[in-house]
Amino acid sequence: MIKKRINNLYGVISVVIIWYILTIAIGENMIPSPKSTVEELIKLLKNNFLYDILFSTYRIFLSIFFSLLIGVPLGILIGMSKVFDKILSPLIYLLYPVPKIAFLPVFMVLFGIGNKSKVILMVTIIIFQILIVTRDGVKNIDKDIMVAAKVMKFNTLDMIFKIIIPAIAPDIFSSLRVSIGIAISALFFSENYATEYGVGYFIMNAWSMVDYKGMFAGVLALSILSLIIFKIIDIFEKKICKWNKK
Amino acid sequence: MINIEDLTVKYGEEKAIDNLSLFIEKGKSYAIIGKSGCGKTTLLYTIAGLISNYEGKLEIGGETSLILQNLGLFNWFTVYKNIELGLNSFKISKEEKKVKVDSILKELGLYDLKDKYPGELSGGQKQRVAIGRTIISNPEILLLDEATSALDSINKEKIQDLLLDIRSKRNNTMILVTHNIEEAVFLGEYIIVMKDGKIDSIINNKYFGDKNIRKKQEYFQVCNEVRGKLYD
Repeated sequence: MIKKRINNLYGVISVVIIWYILTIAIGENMIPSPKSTVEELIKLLKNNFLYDILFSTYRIFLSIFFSLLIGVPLGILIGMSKVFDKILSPLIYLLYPVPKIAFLPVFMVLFGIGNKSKVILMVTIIIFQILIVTRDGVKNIDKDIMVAAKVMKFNTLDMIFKIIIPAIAPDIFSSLRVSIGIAISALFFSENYATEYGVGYFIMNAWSMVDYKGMFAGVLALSILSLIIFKIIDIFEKKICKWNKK
Repeated sequence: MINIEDLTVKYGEEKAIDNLSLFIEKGKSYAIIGKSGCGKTTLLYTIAGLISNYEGKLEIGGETSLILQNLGLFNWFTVYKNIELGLNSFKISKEEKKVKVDSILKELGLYDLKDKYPGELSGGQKQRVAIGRTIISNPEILLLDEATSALDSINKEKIQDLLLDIRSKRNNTMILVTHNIEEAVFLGEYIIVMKDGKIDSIINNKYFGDKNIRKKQEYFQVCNEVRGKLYD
């Protein structure tokens, strides 16, 4: 426990040190010091900045929710059925590497310029990881467990809830961790249009107004937000995958 | 009772079981021994109902349950829940299940481990959980596939003793597949030697049931008899 705390603290201290070095090397005008950035962030939080954070958080959680809601059942279906695997897997392989941000204009036309197109953009980024990890997880379930299930006369629902979901749960958490980082950077892009609130919008706005202090405060807020989301995922994983003592 | 007549099981063109006939008496214990690839596991799986693509006659009088070589325990469930899953197809209340699970846990010396996960157990303990999950439904026919092969020799003998106890207490029919001669002689009233998908010979082991047989001269005699048939 104490060791973990020290590790966390070590991360923060190294970032702050590198930050200070860059501030000194490049100049306070381009890279505001950590101290003035934190002060700026506190000042911003006293104003309306909290709304930006809340809106971004809302979009991130919404996209995680929909990615899981669609990705996990579809991944299970592809993993269980050879027919679906043959039909859908080539499609997934083809679409996975496509830069989804390139489709942003299409999403805007199809889903409007509000929250919907922003969340859908993030879903299209997160969902592929979840789909592939779920499918592979289902395929890799130990053969003996499947035989045991047959001996114990499991029906399809038993198979899904007593074997497949618990077996792939740790993999899903890992894929969430990988894809959320990417999704948050995509959020940054999607919050650039038709937005009133959002950390991404705030950062871009500060940037175009040459308000570097504000921009850095926004980046710092986004990092802290990501850290909190990662921690929440860790907590959920510990609660749900109790058997998985890594 | 199990009656097998002219059973043939093929994997593609290759015959795993070749025109095999066998009668298994109720309440007796049979050990099937043979080299890898002789068809012993296929025979067991066919009796367990896991292979439906066979030719010939197969009559099985009673419920079967199978203990797998690699156990097939659910790592994400506790010991308690793993054993309870043996009652998965039973339409009984949660309370009735609890009574049964608790009694099995106590019988197998697993009660203190009931909230642990399989990943936290030793090989012998995991084996006992797999046995518990199988015997909780009180099947008339107990099938075991190399059930002790993953254990060290001390744990192996402990599990063999436990299996002998279970069988004499419940009097169920037991069919076990093994490649271990000593295990076959300790647990088999009849020792079936298989070769190339066929039954080579059946040895009647008159010393079966004696828990102290391992220390006796007669034990080695039977072992040598089996050895003779195997290497014939």
